Amino acid sequence: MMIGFPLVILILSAIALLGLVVFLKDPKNTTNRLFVAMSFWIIAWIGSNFLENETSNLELASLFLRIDFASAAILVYFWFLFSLNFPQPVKGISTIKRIVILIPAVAFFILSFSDLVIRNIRFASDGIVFDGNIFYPLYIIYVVSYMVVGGSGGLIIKYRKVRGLERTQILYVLLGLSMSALPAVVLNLFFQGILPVEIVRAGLYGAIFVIGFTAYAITKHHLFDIKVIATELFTLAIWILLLVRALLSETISDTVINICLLVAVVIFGILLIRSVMGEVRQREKMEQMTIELERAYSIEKEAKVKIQELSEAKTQFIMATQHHLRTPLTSMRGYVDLILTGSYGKVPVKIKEAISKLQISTVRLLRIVNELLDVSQFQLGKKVVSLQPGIEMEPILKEVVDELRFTAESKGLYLKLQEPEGKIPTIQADVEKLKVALFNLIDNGIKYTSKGGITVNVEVSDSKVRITSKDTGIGISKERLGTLFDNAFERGKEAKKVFSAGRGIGLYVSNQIIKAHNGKVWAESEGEGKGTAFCIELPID
Amino acid sequence: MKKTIFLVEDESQIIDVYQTALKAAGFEVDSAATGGGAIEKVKEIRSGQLKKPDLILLDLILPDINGLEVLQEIRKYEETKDLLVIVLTNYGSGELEKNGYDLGKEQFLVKAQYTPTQLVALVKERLE
Repeated sequence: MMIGFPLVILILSAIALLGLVVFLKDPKNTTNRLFVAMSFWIIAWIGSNFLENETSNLELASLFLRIDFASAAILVYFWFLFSLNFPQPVKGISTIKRIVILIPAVAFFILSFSDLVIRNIRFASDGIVFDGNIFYPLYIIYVVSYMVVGGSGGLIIKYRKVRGLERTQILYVLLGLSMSALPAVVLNLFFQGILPVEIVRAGLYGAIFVIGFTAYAITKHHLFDIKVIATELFTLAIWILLLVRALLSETISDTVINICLLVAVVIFGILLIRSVMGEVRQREKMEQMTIELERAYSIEKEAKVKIQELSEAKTQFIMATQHHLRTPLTSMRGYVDLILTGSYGKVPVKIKEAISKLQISTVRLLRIVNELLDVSQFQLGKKVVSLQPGIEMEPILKEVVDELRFTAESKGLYLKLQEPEGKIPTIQADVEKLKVALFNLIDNGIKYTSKGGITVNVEVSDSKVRITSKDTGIGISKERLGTLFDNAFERGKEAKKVFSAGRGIGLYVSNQIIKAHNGKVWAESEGEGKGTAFCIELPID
Repeated sequence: MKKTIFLVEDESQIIDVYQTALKAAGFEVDSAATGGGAIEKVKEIRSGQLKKPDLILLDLILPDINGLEVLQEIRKYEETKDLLVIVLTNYGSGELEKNGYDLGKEQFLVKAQYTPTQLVALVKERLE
């Protein structure tokens, strides 16, 4: 079945249109320019191939045949370059390489017009035939090398290496190629004069597929979207149908009507495609946002896990080392105690004074170790207190105040304990831990007070005992009051200036201990420079 | 008659400190530096070769076997099951739990929290 002239025109027009669309998409892009060049030479190739079998003039037919061969020589050259520069233009091809690639193309282009590639051109029963000459095998090798090995082979190698959109773009081109160009080359090179001309030509006209698929891969970014593809194909099919109808119109009025209809449908089709593309873009945006949200969530989740692991590791480290810190402390406290109690004989006054200071430092070091342990245990949610009923507050308060009085007086501060008139009701408490909590709060007042002093008083209400340690110190801003007891190792700016050696865990530990006593602790202050009142409230037993 | 304290502790300085304080307080002190050595002494107590101590100060972390196994050995036999024991440790309750030391109703103290003087006072209180 002969493919009619109108359909050849249609195919060549489509190729020209696709080339124009791609060129206008990005005229400066090397890939797009190479595509246009390729489209041009495909048009020349298909056109000359059609015409060589449509004329009865042998000279004209020979010319078209030679143009056929020459066009193919340049076509495969541009195909090779296109493959190198698809989907992204490649940089860094040296001038020498460019010349080396160009030389065979130019050579075979020129040789196609001599008898060195083909000769003895004549008509046969089903079309034009020829004999290959001395350069014919070389011509075939050149075409196959550039078309298959260099061009298509290069694309296949790239396909394996890249990912994402680039991979899909290459796949489209390879699909188009396999559907058209390869059969076209094979049929034309090896079966010309053997198979009927209609069959040989069909391979050529299939080039529309490679051009179509490639143009699509270059210009579109919704390659997988079936909705868009379906809309476009459907619209294109209707356009082609209406174009053919217009071309086959028998009367002028029919032609005009059909062309008007075609124009209207083209406009409508473009609007429809744009609308579908818009919808797809919106959907893709939403999908992208979802992906990003999921990624952010996943990162946050991983970060939380890492933070938890680090916190756990820190806590485990503290717990592991506290045992090793306490053992030498036991010996230190032991020997100091034995010296001071005279187990090694009478101790001179000066040595006794020095050993007493050593004892204070040892106790202080032990307190730090214990606090670190308590913090780590609190952070692990471990039970730290063991509540006993019937505990009296007075001896505990007295002991803590007595212990701290020396520290306060060394700074020139007063430390007073004002007990209520009546007896303080008993409470449930872990005596040692409660001492630590009270010690930390009062000690905090001493640390951050430079003049005046600290007053500790006790009030009893219906079901609670409230202990308040009020100082005349640096005070606390309203912003800090809310988070004062929350986090270990955090300290305020003013606090760091006044007492740089603080660790930031005393208040945290006190809070955890009092909470474990079913009580609460808080601070009140008028602001910086206006003193602070630390308050503990405990339920009566 | 002097009361006897059996001290099981692997740290030599702590043995020295506690022995000095307990002897100064009028106690006789016998000691073992390993779990194995302690169990040998328990066998000798059971066989009558050694006098029963009035109180055992037993360190939990020993170089060979842990103090809990020694305690189980003490509590296993009729002759020794009622001996007074104070377990000594420098672990906090959290770490005891983490490492699987279940002391049940046994009294234990954190060594670093007690001076030798305080320990002697506690021992005397326990013996009363």
